[in-house]
Amino acid sequence: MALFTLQDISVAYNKQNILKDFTLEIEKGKLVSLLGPSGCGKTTTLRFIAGFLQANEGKFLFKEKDYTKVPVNKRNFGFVFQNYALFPHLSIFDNIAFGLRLRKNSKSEIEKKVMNVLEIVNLKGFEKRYPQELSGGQKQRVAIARALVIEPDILLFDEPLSNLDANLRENMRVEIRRIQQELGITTVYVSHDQEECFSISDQVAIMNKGVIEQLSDPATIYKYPETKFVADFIGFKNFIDFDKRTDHEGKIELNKSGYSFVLHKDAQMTNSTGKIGAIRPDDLLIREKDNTGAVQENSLSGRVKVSTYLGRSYQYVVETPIGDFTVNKEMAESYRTGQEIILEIPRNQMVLVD
Amino acid sequence: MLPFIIRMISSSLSNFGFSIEEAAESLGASKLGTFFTIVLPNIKSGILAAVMIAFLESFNNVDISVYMTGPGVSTFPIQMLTYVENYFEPTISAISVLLMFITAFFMFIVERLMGLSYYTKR
Repeated sequence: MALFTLQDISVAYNKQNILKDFTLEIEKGKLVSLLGPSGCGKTTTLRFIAGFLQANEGKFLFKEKDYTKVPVNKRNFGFVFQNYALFPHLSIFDNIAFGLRLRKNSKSEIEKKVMNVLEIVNLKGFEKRYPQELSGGQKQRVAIARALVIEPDILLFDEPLSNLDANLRENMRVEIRRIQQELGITTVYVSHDQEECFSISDQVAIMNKGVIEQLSDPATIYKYPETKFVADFIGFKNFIDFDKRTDHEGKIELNKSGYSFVLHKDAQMTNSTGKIGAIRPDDLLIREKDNTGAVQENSLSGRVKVSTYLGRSYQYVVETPIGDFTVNKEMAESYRTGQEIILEIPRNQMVLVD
Repeated sequence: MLPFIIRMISSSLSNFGFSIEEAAESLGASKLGTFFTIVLPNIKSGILAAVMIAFLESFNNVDISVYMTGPGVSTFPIQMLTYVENYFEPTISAISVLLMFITAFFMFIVERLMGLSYYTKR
């Protein structure tokens, strides 16, 4: 049951179309991430939901009501900015109370709600301080508190952790997820960090050039990307453009330049037309070339072109008759540049994408 | 005079960026309300500094004052000018020194409000 719906939205910025015929449904209580590279339209989408941007076409529905023309200040949506946007001339208490005072809450109610939300974000005792006195992580928590205290219908995050250092980012994203789940608050979260989105979301929408390439739960996207863009974005670095795809019962046969490969068919593989094979560098196998001449399934003879030491593993670029492959292998075995080896694609490790 | 004021206030404005205005709006403030409760308090120092500079500029611009006043109306600088032209007393020197101190004081306040970096920001 969708709480919010973006229907065929077109948003243009400086005469350039960022979103066109864009559709997205957000369910109540879920955390949906918009993930993608710079310029893909994720921030535009978020700001449109908030009301900072107008759409040329399309409708925005909230609980079935048309919210497209409702101005920002009437929407009751909480927005958390990347640079926190705390009011420098107000104390932490007044920063958080700002929204409540506009809603004409009584003084005692304001006191109660502010102290309550400060406790939720673990900042009890900071009420009298000013934003300049706080660290980045603390400021971010105040920003979250300020957005939460108005009991918003939806919480919107615009790359909230990008300005924090790596350690803090990991801790904060867990906090954000904890708060979101405890309060059951519908949330849209924008980030360019794949790990961040995957670790906290119920659903992830991978966006590219104003279009959602795939919308699914993190586990499904991780194992079964549907397009080349998504696969590449999440770490599948090897792609084979197959000439022919033949679907059989339980397996798929693929051909390229005279070589054939067998792929295990999974019920969850929803892409029934894709002919580009994608494999992660960690999932390819390299073996010493044996001289028995026996041909094994899904194997190619190749030559190590480049060998790079990564610390925990080696990364090889292997040259084969059908193209170059990037392979990661643990330190235990190592192969020299120029060495002839066998490259194998295990039948359950390749995914077919468009 | 006008460009001066605009420059000083706009540097105050650009420092905080408009995301706090958006923040205020997202919390329910109207555009007008946002101006008075969020923008104004934060550019106070810029406005004050601009007022002081504008005053000093105008104060020094005697020729324009002379031009714009009619009989019966006078400003302090005009009086000073008349005094120098017609009298031969050291009082005017004392007043000049006083004015120097006042100017220095105003500039000191402006520097405290805006920071030395303002002058190097040409």
